[in-house]
Amino acid sequence: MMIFLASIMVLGLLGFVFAALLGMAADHFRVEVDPKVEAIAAILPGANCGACGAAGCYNFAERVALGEIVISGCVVGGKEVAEKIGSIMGVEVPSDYHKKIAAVHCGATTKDRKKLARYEGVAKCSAAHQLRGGGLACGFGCLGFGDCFCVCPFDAISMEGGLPKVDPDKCTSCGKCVAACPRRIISIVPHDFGAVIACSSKDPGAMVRKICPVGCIGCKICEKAVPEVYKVVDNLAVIDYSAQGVDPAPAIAKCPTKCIVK
Amino acid sequence: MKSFSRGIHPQDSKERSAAKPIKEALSPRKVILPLQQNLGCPCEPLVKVGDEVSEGEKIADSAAFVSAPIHAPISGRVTEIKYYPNACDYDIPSIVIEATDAVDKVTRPGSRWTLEELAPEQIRKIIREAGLVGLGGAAFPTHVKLAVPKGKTVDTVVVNGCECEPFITSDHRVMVEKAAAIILGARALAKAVGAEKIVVGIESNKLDAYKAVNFEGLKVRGGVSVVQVKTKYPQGGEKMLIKALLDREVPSGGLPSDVGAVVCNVATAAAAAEAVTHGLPLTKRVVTVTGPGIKEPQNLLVKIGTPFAELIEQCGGTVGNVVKLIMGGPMMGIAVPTAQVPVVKATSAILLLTDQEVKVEPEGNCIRCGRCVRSCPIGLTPNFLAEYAKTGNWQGAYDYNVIDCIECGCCGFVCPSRIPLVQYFKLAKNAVRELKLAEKKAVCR
Repeated sequence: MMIFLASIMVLGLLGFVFAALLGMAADHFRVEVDPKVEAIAAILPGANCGACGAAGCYNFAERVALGEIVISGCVVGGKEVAEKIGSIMGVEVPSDYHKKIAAVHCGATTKDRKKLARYEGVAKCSAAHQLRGGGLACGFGCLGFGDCFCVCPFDAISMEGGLPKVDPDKCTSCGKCVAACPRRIISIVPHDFGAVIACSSKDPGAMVRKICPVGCIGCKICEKAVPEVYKVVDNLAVIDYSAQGVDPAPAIAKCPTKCIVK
Repeated sequence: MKSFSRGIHPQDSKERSAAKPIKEALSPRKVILPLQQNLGCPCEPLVKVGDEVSEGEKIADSAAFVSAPIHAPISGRVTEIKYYPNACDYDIPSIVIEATDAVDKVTRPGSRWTLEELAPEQIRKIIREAGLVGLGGAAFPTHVKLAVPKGKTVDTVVVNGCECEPFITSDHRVMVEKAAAIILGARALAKAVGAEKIVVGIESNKLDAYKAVNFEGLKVRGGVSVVQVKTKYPQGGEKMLIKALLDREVPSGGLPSDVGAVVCNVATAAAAAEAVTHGLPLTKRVVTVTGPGIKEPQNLLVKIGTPFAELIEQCGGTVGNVVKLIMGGPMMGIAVPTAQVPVVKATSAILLLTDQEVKVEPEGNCIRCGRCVRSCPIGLTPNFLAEYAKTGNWQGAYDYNVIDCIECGCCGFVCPSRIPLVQYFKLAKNAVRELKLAEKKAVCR
């Protein structure tokens, strides 16, 4: 019986001594943390995607508290998180804040794509792009193996008919798909703008007509319809997303190959 | 018999065309010349649309060091300078020349010389101006090889007569028919780099070629040795051949000049002889048109820029259901999507395979059998590299020396799971290069 009592007493005593030491050490070596950092870190999504440019969410919170990054810097959190961070920091969210999403600049599904050769290699866009574009006639468009689909951490991309489709509710514009696409056909655009050029081909119109039913032929009809927004450069229409407040819709209806989508 | 360790023994299939003498192909009416026909930098055109050019005239050149000029293979008029499909998939324009009915005249970039009166510097210049590149298939500009970096000495010129790729016999026929030119060309290259020794390595399945080259080699008193090497793939890889003939090992990331050797192909040596003694630029080469899908396999002397389709026609057309057209051999060749692509300096063979040979099996999982490791002539571990490439772990691939892969295809050949290993490595090599470049930029900023 004595042996139990002795061991309990010794261990208990040791416990008290170490607890006291740890307590003193914690007090002595305490690191001062800005309470704002902790508060901001708590409301961030915690995806650690790196789209803000910081090395993870906590680093973002630290840099926001220091004023190095703007409060709307977290692309994943969007307006909601920006407002919360704003209330902690005592700053208003800027009025020209727009949600951004990834947009795919190709509209050709598997059946639209003209093939020159059968591709039997590694089923990855990056591999097919190196091997003469997987035998596709179009040197600019989507290859359809879904590298973007695989890399999306938010499950926002689905492959429909061999073409990635972005779910605007899930997309956080983190930009991983932009980097993963070997053909660089995905870009981050303002969601509420209402127009995307679903083509990346810089081939002349006559050639595009031969190989793709939904490609941009560089006809400049959109440029004539809404000159503030559209411009044809290198046989390809591009949108000036800084032209806010101009309705891009009239050109969508007029586009002969329907390569401008909402 | 001399050789290297590991490697594989594919069926050589050379009997179709090995005994066929080189035949001059019909001169094409139209040639397509991509502005990049070599490793390194593309050329800039020196002519414009509508210009008259004569055979042998220089039509494109580059100021960059790692590049070789391009010469007109036929006399005619430049009709177009625009993008045409080419076998190497370079996204660059091609010069198109259409033959005119005027009498052919040949422009020589230089006059005739004898080897004795030329200084090493002059030989390098002649070879550059002749647009010479490695004719074995990689098309590395020859004059770049000959410019030995400071602090290194080259004592041996290794002439590569292995032709280890199955089906191809173009080098074989060049050795049988132009043995004297090979030896002369090799002597010119040796003089250019200041090497005393010339070693010609020929695989043991080409006995007639060995006899012919050895006969010519013996005429030169001393300095030239012709050696038979084991018939094994990839015996013709320069690192493997140096190991077999000189028992020296090229270090990781190094060049043959690091171990005192320069390697050139037999066809390159023969072309060098023509450039030096006759002042002729590289405008034609021997191409083996072969494979089970061709009616009459042949070795043709072809003007560069001739579309594949014309050569296939001259060989009696196709037989069976041809499903694959390859530039080069079955191991390292490049599949091309259309027969309209032109012959370039790197085209050693045109191979047509039918549905009987091409079987596509789905890629399986790695079963850790280690056959790829046992076959890799460089001594890499393809099983790990493939895993890193699949998962995008480029740093891991770099640590396992993916950059040293010579893309010979031995690992993929023996893989029982049919994993397209070389394609993964090509992907990894490009990604690793980009990664290292980005790291360098981040450090140097």
